[in-house]
Amino acid sequence: MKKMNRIGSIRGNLILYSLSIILLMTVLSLYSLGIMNRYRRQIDTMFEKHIYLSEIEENLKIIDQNLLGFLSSKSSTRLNNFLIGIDKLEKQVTNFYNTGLVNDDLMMKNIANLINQYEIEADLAITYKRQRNVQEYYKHYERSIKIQNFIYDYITQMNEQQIDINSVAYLELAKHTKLLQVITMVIVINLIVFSLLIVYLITSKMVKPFSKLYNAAEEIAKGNFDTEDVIIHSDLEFKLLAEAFNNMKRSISSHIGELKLKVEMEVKLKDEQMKNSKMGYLLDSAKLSALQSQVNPHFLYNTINAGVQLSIIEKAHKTGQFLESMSRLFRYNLQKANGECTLEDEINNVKDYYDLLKARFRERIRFEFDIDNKALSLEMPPMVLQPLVENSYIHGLSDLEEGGTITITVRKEEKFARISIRDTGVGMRKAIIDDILCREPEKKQTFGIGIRNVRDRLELFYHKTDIFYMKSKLGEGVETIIEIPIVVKRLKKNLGVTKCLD
Amino acid sequence: MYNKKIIYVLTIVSGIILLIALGAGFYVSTEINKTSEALSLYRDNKEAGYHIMMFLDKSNQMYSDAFRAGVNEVAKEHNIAVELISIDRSNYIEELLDRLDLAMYAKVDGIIVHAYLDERIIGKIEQAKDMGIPVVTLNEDLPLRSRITYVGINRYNMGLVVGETIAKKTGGSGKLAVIEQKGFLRKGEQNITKKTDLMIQGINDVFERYDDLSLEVVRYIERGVLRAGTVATEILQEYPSINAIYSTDGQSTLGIVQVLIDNNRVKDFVLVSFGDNEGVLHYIGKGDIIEATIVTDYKEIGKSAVRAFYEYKTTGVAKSHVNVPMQVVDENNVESYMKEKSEAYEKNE
Repeated sequence: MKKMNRIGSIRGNLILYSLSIILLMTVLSLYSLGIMNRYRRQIDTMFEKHIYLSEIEENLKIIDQNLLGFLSSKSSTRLNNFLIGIDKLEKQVTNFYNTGLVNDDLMMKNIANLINQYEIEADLAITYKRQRNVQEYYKHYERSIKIQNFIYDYITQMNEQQIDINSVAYLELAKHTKLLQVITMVIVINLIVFSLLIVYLITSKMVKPFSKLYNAAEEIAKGNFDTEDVIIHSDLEFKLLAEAFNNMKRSISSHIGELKLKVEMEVKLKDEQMKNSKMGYLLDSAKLSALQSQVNPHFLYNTINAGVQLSIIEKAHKTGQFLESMSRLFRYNLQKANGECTLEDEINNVKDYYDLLKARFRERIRFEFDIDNKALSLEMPPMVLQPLVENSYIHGLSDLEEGGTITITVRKEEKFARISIRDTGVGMRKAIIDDILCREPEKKQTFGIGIRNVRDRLELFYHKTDIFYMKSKLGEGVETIIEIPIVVKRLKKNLGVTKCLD
Repeated sequence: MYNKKIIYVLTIVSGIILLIALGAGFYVSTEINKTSEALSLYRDNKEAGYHIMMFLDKSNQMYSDAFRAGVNEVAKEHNIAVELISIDRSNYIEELLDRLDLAMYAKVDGIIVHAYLDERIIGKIEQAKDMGIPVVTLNEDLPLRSRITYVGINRYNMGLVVGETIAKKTGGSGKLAVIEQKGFLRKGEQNITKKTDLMIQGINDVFERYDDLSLEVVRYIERGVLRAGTVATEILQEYPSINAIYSTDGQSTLGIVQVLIDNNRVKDFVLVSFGDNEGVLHYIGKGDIIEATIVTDYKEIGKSAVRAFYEYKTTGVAKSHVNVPMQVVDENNVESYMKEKSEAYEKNE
């Protein structure tokens, strides 16, 4: 597990974004607070001098009342109050006073000096009052009044000046405040827009990897495992997710590949099994037919043999030959039905069959053999050629009054031997041939069963399909061609051959 | 993709707007903060070296902007704070006496005063001197024992210049009427007479050299266009032979000009004024109506007054008299004078 607490992680980014927004909001709040503070300070500045001056004026009035009170009544309380008041006033003025070049400063300096002088004159008035020197204390009290008036004059002047300044300042302030309101409005609206855009960008950035993953997952859902790997450069978690996704994709892909292979194998196996069961079925049906015919053929075979002996006693040679051929035919059928034989056996069997036909039809049906002896030893399944020849006779020649010829040709080639059974009969349409050779015939189709049986047995025997062909033109007979391989894959065991009859 | 570009552009634009708005808000709030500061005349943390109180006659044309500029220039140069108090002429001496008390109570470092030769004023100035406050006088010279320096025009010299100018402009023959601005009247004093007025003496001394030149009438008036107009009309009616007028005040001159225009007598008169009133200079520039004006350097008076105080404060001595020179401005030099004046004004600004 990789460390997640890096800046690139979603959590880190979310914290960063949240902190940025909080910081932005804080800065803006402080900013508003700062501006409010400036505004308040300005208002304070506008009025602090008024307040300060009216305090001085008020204090001076109280001091004067106390002075006058003392001078008229000699009250020590009044004197005390006067002294406390004057002390307070001096401090008040000293704290504020500075010796700048500005008119205000000059006036304040004058006020401070005048208060000093006032104190001197008031002290003198008090002293002369104590000495009961009426003229002097009155004179100094008069002076203190004069000084007091000067102070009031200055206070009035300063107040007037301040009012002038303030009224202009107020107009300026109102103008600026209005502007500030508009600016604040712009800031608020803009901040909303800005935040929305930032949130949009952040969410888009966060959602983008999901889209990539989604699209890749969709492709995979469609079965397309060849999509490119999802590559995400943004947050670490997404990178890990993408890596995991890619790994998953690869793993599923390989797993599915294995499954496919397995399924293919299974299908092949099933196919084999199917073939085997089909072969079994064919064998079963052959067995059944063999068992069915076991009673009669034996009886017939014995009967025919009795017929042969009878014909020898009666010296009917031709009948004897006929019966002998017939007996051989039966014998071959019974002996080879479930085993294997050579091409030679098959040819001989056809020849016996020909003998029988010849006894029946004389010269109307003719057989021609063109046999390559080198091929005679080749192994092949039994009862292949006779049914084909019989087919040629029954469907090709039997309806022709003038009869016809069935030519059996065997040629050994390099890899296979070609056996051709050609008749000069009525022939077939191609559609009929296609129906006969159809691998999945309709159930109701009754013709061609024998030919299909021969073909299927050949295919099963040689374990290949391109063995059996038929070609024909209407009126020009039918040619059936079998190409048997020279190297025979032995499947005798698979065939489950049963013992043939004696 | 296109949308995303728009979003990015919008974000950047809105960010910039936000920054600009914040900057603007900050700027406006700073402006708010500065509002009253900016309205204070002059904000400087410099500490004043000296504090002078200056008492001036509210209606005297001498204490013009030029005078104040001169005062401020030297005051600034030497770090002197000047508190200017203008006193109305109607109760000038009483008010001034009070204000001189104020100056002493307020313990100023110096006084510059538009003074009259009056015993009470002299007394107060001496009191101030005893307190160590040096006094510079303007307008009228006071005894040396009280004040340190007198800065101003020598009125006799002024009379000589006026006489010469009239003689020149009239071609040496004519009859002159003087319309003079009334000064402060001392108690019991009816008017300044021809005999006591040094300026009139100066004019007469010049006219003695010319057979056909004479000073016919002197009228003392309050300042203002309308009063001058009334007096001028009277003179036109009472003294039909008069062909020259000298007015000691710019505004009064403009009133006289109006009377001459109304009576269609512009061509018959030589009109000479005093001071560099804009209107007067304008008429001189146009020619025909006002022939000349006698100007003195008001700025120099302001500068000299403060400078005298500073010299006395720093060296312990100062010139007892500073006479400011006069200059005649007529159509030949009015343009260069005005140019010089406006340049000096701009420099001062």
